[in-house]
Amino acid sequence: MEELNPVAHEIYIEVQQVLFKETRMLREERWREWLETMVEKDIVYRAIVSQLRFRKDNRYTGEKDVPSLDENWAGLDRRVAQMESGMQWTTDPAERVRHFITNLEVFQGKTPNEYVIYSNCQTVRNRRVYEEMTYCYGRNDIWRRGADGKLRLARRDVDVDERFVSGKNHNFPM
Amino acid sequence: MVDVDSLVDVKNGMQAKRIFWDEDIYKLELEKIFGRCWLFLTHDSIIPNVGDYAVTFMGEDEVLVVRQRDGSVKAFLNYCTHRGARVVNAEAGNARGFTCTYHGWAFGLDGSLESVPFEKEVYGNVLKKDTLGMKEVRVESYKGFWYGNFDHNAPHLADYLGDYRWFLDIWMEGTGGAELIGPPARSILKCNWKTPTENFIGDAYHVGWTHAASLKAMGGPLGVLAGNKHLPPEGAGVQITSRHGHGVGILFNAGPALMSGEEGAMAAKWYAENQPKVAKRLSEAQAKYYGGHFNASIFPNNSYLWGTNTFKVWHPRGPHQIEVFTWTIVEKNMPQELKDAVRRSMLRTFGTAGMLESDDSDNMESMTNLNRGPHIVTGVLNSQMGLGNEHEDAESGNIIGPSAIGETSYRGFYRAYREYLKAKDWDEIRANNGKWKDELLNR
Ligand code: FES
Ligand SMILES: [Fe+2]
Repeated sequence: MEELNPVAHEIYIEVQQVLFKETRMLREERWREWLETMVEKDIVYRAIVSQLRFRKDNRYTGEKDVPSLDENWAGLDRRVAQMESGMQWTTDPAERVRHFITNLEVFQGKTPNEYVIYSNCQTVRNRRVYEEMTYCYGRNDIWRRGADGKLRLARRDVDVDERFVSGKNHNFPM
Repeated sequence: MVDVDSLVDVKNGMQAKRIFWDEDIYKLELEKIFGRCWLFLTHDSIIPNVGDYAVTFMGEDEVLVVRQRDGSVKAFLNYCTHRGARVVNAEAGNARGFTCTYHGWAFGLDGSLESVPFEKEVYGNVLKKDTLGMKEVRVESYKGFWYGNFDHNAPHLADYLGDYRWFLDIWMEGTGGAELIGPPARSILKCNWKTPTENFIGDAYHVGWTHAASLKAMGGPLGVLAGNKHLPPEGAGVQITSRHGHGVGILFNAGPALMSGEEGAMAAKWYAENQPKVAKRLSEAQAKYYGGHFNASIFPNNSYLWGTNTFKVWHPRGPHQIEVFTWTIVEKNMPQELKDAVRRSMLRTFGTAGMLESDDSDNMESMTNLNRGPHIVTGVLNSQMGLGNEHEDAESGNIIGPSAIGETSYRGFYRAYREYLKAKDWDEIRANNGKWKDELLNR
């Protein structure tokens, strides 16, 4: 991996605030606002689980990545539309999803207005009476600064630690 | 002793709710169903080369499937014949042999015990190595799909699939074969293994309601069903059940399913272009179904959707839990661009973060877990839709329910379920070959 340059302190704080704001927006179910104001049109949003392989096995030709999410803007738009439909009974009564973001590292990206952001996340999701689910994953993000000076998510690669989905599904904002 | 007759009423289309809950019924299922039906293992596309292997389950038994030097495939229980530790801890890979992590007994690709550390010094001549190979399981393939069976008296896989092959061939053979993409996604659901199997085998009824929001958001040919605004019109589809309980529901010309826009157009074009090829390769009658959306299960726990292109195994883990293996399935000859689009659509709909997958699992879990109540568990399940409308399908030899929505394949699934649970052995099941349709057709 090529060496990345950390950003200045003010930018680090700015990025941190944006990430916190994003999770709050999603927690408050402001899906459309999130998509319209915080997400770039050329977004790539992926969540990948890894198949268990022996370290020394380099002969097997099969893919190792197990995608759980592989979305573009249109796909995210459909997911938002699902929630907006007023018919989504699986989140009625509402689920509660709380993100914890830590180990934040912010680097200068390929262009002056792009940032590469690493973080560790733990998300606790509650639904129905008895279902409490915890998910642990890393996120590699690219955020881009627009002409209006605002940061928007351009790419997110979620690196999921669990091999099997213990909490039912990954159908929540990761 | 489980009173099997009290569990399923075929003529009236009812089942006892206990089948989703009771421990003793589950034990009987492991013995009589998972112990002697063909269970999906893997596909040629996952273990193409000599030494390639994949680890999976047959019922609750962990199984290692290995491509042999002569190109054939063998499967073994994934435990060591010394003290019983797991032999292979990876999920898939390529190997020249398998060495147990505990004391280092080493097995060949063919499962034979090849070497034992310090054999001469510590065992002398005691060890009969040729009797200590990994325990082998019978395997057979149909069009590249490998299944395993614990019962040596079971019919060949092709005969177990039987007349149902007529419908399998449409997509397994029609345009030159099908393949699975990538390693399986794996998830745990707290439901009985039959709840998703019955849903996939024959539940077009829930699509417009359970998935109302997803359908409305996604568009595509299935989108019109959103919120039960429309019933599929007369003659829009069929449901099928077959000798050994496999079943399928087909919604005509809904192949691109939930793909809309450019991707939907690309899928629709593919189906239209290939329909004549299917007619040529198979038959006009089969080509008529090609390009439709299929929801289906191969008895007991292997389900697939053709059009939304998911292929699943519901591995049982006790009566109240399953582990789901999910693959994307594509036609081999689809252009890469279409395969990619199909894969994205599958992930969005029936993957581990799938919009429709999440809808379904909520129903399946409550159908199971409410049965902890002693008053709830004594109730019955109803599958009477379309009762009396079925007839023999002259084209395929199966039983057909002539409407898109109905519960014909539910009734056929549970007819077979009862037959397996009751029968002493496969000879007893074979004896019913000439009369399995009678009860379903009420004759
Ligand atoms: S248990 Fe495998 S070598 Fe002893
Ligand atoms: Fe469904």
